[in-house]
Amino acid sequence: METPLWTLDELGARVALALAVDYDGQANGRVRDVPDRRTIRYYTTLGLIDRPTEMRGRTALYGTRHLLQLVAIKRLQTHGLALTEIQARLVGRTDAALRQLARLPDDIGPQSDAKPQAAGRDRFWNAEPAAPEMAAGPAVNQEVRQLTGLPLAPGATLLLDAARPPDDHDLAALRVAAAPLVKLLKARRLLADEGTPHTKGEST
Amino acid sequence: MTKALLPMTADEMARAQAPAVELDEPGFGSLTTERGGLPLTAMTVATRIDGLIAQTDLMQTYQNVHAEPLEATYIFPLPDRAAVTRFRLEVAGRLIEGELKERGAARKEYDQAIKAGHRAAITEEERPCVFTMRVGNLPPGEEATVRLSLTGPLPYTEGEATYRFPLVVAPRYIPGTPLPGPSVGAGVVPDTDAVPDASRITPPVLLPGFPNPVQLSLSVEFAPSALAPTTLKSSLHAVVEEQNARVRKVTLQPGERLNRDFILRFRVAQEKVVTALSLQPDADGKEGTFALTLVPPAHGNSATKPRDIVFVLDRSGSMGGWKMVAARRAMARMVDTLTDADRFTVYAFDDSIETPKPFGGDQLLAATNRCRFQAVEFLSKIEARGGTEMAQPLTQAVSRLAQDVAAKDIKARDRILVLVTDGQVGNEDQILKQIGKQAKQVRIFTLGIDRAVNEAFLKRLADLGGGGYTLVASEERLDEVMDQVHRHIATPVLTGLRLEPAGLAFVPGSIVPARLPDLFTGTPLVLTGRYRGTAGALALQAREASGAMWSAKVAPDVGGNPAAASVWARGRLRDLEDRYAIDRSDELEKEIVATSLRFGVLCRFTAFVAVDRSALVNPGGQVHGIVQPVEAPEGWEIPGQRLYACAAPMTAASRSTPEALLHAMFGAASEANDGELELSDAGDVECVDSYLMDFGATKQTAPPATTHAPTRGGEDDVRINVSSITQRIQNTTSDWPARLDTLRAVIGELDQIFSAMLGQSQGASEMLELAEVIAKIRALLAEAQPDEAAVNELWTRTETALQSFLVFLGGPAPGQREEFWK
Repeated sequence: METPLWTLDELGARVALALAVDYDGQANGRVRDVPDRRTIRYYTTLGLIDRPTEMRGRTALYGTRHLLQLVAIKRLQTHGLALTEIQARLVGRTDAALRQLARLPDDIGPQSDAKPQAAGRDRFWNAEPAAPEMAAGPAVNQEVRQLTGLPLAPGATLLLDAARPPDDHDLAALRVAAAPLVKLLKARRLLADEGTPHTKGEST
Repeated sequence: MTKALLPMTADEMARAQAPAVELDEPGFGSLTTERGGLPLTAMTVATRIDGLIAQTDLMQTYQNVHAEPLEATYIFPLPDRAAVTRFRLEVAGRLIEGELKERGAARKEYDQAIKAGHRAAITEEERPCVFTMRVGNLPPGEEATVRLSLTGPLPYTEGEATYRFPLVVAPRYIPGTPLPGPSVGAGVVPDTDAVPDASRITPPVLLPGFPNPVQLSLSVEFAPSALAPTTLKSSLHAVVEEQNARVRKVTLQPGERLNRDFILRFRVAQEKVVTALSLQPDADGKEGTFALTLVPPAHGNSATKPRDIVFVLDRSGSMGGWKMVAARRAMARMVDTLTDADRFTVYAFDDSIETPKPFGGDQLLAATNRCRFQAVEFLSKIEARGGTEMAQPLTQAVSRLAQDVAAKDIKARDRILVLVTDGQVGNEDQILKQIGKQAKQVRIFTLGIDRAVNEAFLKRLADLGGGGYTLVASEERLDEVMDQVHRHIATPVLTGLRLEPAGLAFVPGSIVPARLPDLFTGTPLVLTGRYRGTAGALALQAREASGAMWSAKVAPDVGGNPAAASVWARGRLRDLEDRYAIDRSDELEKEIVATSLRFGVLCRFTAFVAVDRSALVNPGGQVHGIVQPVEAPEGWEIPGQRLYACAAPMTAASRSTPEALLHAMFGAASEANDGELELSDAGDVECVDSYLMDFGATKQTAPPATTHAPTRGGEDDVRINVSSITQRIQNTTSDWPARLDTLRAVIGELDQIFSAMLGQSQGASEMLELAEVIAKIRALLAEAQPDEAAVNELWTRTETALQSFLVFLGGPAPGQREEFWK
């Protein structure tokens, strides 16, 4: 059977579609988000979803099983399950079991199995690795200072050339000390609007 | 309703009927046990140690709890020096003997058997220490057991032998660009041009808190032998049983997880290990295998050559936590042993390379006090981060060291590359190919730091570089092996070792290791090889450190270990595979396959396959495939999202964005445990330190483990004292008589601090400076009329010395950080 192959965006669209139909309703809006590339890779590391079916250049392609797995993860998350529990329930599930759990609507695409197939490279064990990409000449940098960033308020970040990573006490003390500054910045309307979306750390 | 295919335990029943049962609706799964539907249920490791050879029987049990026929895939480690000599599949009450075949042929046979519907299993080697087991067409509800037989030598150094059995393949960094099309294996990372089989060495990883899925049993039995072990130390909870006066058996406590190496060390009296040649003729008597143990002459030769050393430090993300601390300390202490006559540089790498301030490009600088101080200060600030782009720094280091070969004084200098790393990369062959040819001109010493180290790779590098390898699996162990580490970068006792026939017709080119290493005091060399005809002696020639010739003749002793041929073949295959990685040819591949098949020892170019042809259980061969997820290695502090770091185009850039910095800062909050064993009160082994446990001859009750090793606690105390003295000095008013009084008040404490640290940090530049400051203060206090300028100058110097000493100790004292911004 012809196996459908989707890019991450196409896969994401189908996950959203599947979740919109037969949506159980749940408290946390976060789990409705379609996972991003990095989260997908994390789930792959955990065996929650299979590796991409194949690569075209740098583009990873996915199949029906990935769709089933992602929707199943989302459904379990709406039940409030922790990732460890989801891992215990999902790793190694048959397609039939996943399909029951994912409850995909019928019009989401053909339900064929898109498990990774054997590659054409039959004798991979004597495949020669490509030469590594090397810098011409010595690629040594003098030590670079890594700055530590501390978000004080939406729109305000303190950059420190810190002697050591700040611990929780430091962070608390810094936030208290910075409060008057933040107040000033807000009073002078120097900060981005509270409502303006800004990037947050990743949630998994 | 829950459909049980196999009897469930009461626990599992209760769990299946617990409130979460709404998720176990019809069809959700055939059986939801608490460990999920994972196929591997049990692993048994039974080892017998005879002299310095270990024979291991490994059993893995797989179970199909699903409603469809199963193909289970398990990516697992084995000791890299062990020869896999036998494979059996036990299924449906039958025991099927596996056959060793050329890898392509074996894979084809397995695929055909699965397609036809037979139960079958195949064992393949991906790396000298990474293997893949597949058990296919396992019907629902059935169980299969595979058995592997292994034989390997035990490394022996400084009177101590080590048996190591790895239990997990740790996540490895995979560099390169993804290859087009599907990947060749079942793992989680797609194949890349740098690692064309990345998908075969990257198992999925279990989250912390996942119930232990595999029941592990492990035992090591010591055969009665002249090399009786005297002191036993284990990395995991174990007990010793005395079976009778001469046989001892070490058994692992139940409940251990497959998340780190099992390491068993034992002492063997040094006078029992002597220079000897043992011969083991083949059954037909025409040829045979020899093993030569060479104990280096002990005379303390004080002749030292000046050295050129490039220190390469892996500071990638996987090195986080105790590993980074140990790596920094190890390297700083090596740097501290250098003298003005030596030249060196330090490369700290992740996906870029950094070097301390005075060094630039690939410059080597004389190891003056100042340079060493700056290097040590640089090292003290290194934190783990980023990817493991190891090819560039190693290539650069090797070519830098090799570049002076033509120079006149080159014979007079030792050229040494020191690599400190956990070895967690997948592109071993790429790196070997890159540095292989030039590596012959330098000596390579590798220090492996991890509890699930990629030992095979670090040994391959050390073998290629004619040097040595040392493993450190805890901070405490680092202190124990530091002398050994220093010896490895010191002048060897013997170099340029050559073997000459003196009666024994050995086969030229059969000697393992292929590059005869330099010899160091305390580490005997074991050479193996093949010979033809009758027994005879071997002659050895080498050069002493002073330049004088050294020679010896060793008489044969017929009746070696019957496993000698397997052990030799394994070593030979490793050498040939390394040569293939560096300089491939079809002839070499043929020689590898032929050696593997003739001696019945598995290698990367062959595979063991077992097919149960007595029954057709799944015509058509449609199977449900599961890759067994493995534990995250113990003692790693890397956030889960980055477990399998790959060379994604964004990695290098992402580090410099503010977002990534914030993430790095706030995402790294996890307080992982530092790997120290907690002993229950009921434990019956004595705990000497928090990591390794000593076994006494009699069973003793273990005291509860302390959370910090004694040395660490001591350092904390010292740190607090140094901090408080520093503060007293800083709080003194700037008038010089007051300063003099303060110096008089603290001199006693400074003395105490200095003696407290003397045992641990002798030779560190900070210690030297502290010693000088103390001497100067004493001299100043002894003066009848101290001079104002002298007091002020010394006051400043004391403050600076204390502050660097504080940095050297690892930062300000705990509990004194609240007001750091003042």
